[in-house]
Amino acid sequence: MGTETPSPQDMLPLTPVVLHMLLALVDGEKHGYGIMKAVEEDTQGQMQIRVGSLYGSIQRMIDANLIEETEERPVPELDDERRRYYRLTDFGRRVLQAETRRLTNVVGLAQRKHVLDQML
Amino acid sequence: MRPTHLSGFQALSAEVYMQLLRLYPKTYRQKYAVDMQRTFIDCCRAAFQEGGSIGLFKVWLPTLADLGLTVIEKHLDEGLLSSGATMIRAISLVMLGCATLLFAVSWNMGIGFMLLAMVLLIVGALGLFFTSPQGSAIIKRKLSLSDDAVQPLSESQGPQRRQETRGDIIVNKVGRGFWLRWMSASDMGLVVGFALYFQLVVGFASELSFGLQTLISIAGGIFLGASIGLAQWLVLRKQISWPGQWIIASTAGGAVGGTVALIAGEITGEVTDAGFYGALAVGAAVIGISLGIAEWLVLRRYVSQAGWWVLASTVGIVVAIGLSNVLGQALHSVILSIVGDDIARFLAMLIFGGLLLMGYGGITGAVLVWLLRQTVPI
Repeated sequence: MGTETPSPQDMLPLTPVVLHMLLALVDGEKHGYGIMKAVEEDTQGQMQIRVGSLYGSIQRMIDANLIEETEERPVPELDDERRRYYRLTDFGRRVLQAETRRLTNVVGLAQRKHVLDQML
Repeated sequence: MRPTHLSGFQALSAEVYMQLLRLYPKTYRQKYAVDMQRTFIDCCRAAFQEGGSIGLFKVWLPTLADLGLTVIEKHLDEGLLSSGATMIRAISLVMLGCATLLFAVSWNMGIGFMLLAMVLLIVGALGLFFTSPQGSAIIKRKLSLSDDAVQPLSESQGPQRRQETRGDIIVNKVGRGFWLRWMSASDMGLVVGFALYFQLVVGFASELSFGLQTLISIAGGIFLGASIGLAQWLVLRKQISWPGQWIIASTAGGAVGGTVALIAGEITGEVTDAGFYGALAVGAAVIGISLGIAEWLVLRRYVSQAGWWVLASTVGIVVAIGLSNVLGQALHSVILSIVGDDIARFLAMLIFGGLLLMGYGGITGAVLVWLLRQTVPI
């Protein structure tokens, strides 16, 4: 029984946590703590992922082929070799692009409707 | 992975977190536990650098909540809670945990809390019993299933335990797992038993005549000893072939200790100016000695150097009941002057809870593991 490869559109919309984790990996491979810190910094502390949730998300993202483990180490001599590093897959990158396009459209729509002006 | 290059609270945090990771399903744990611990250590380091010990606590609180949720999620993902029996067992354990907490706070929350705790305790215990091999065998017999179908889990699926025989006792390999089980059971027994004892002796009997107080303290002591003995029996019965005597010894020790503790506590309160907490510490010491001696009478027949048990029991109960209350109260006002009331209360409760749990179960468990590893006399 063959399984159909999902298209990036099938994965949308992404949850905020997955979106920010993918964004954190755009700059290159990172370990769990690196992803956690990157998300926290990217969101100015508004999103803090805890360890249990982080690895739960990592497992689901690997299963969905959004990210993968990598043997590459940014600074091998300073690192614990047992530590796992993760990077975006090609599919993950395309999903991130699709999500970014979707969000850009949402923001464009909101701007055309002057949502922010109304709020003010 | 054992944490290295960490000090004090950080190393303790890493060790405790490593133990908590055992709650996750095995396959998940095998894959991610090392990374999770590594990441948690990094979080602790950063938090410690930023805010010291308070920073560490700020990491722990959300981590515990997150851990609780993700443990359930992962078990559901792996289908481990799909069988009815496993689900009931998990719910029963949660009920026992809640009952213990309710008993712990029921000392000054009234009889309603205690009744609710009692119901949770009984339902949780029944749930655990009927999902155990023995309990399910009873159910199947009642339902008239054939004996062939009644095969205890431990025989059909459970891992073979490493056993060695020493005279008429069977001693399974004891280690960290035994210590954890012992600590959980002992602390639960102590909290439940002491809450009942406290309600009866201090709450109910304080206005009665001395004779009636003595009678009630004997009853309270029996509850206390039986509760501890029964809970510890649940762990001991898998290790040794003489656990029944343990319940009898603990009950007797509790009855004597509970009665003498009332008198010793009253004398302390009247003769000295030690106040309530002083009387509590003295009472705890008396109960610890009495329980220790009674259980030593059982232990000494099978284990060499069993005398250490009396000391372990005494120190354990004094730390768990006396010191935890005294330190918790004393530190609350100290911490209050440094941080806000909520955090002070939380930290004081943490100190109280930590001493309570590590005190009795932790100390006696460590000594029992050591004793069971010793050679047997005769």
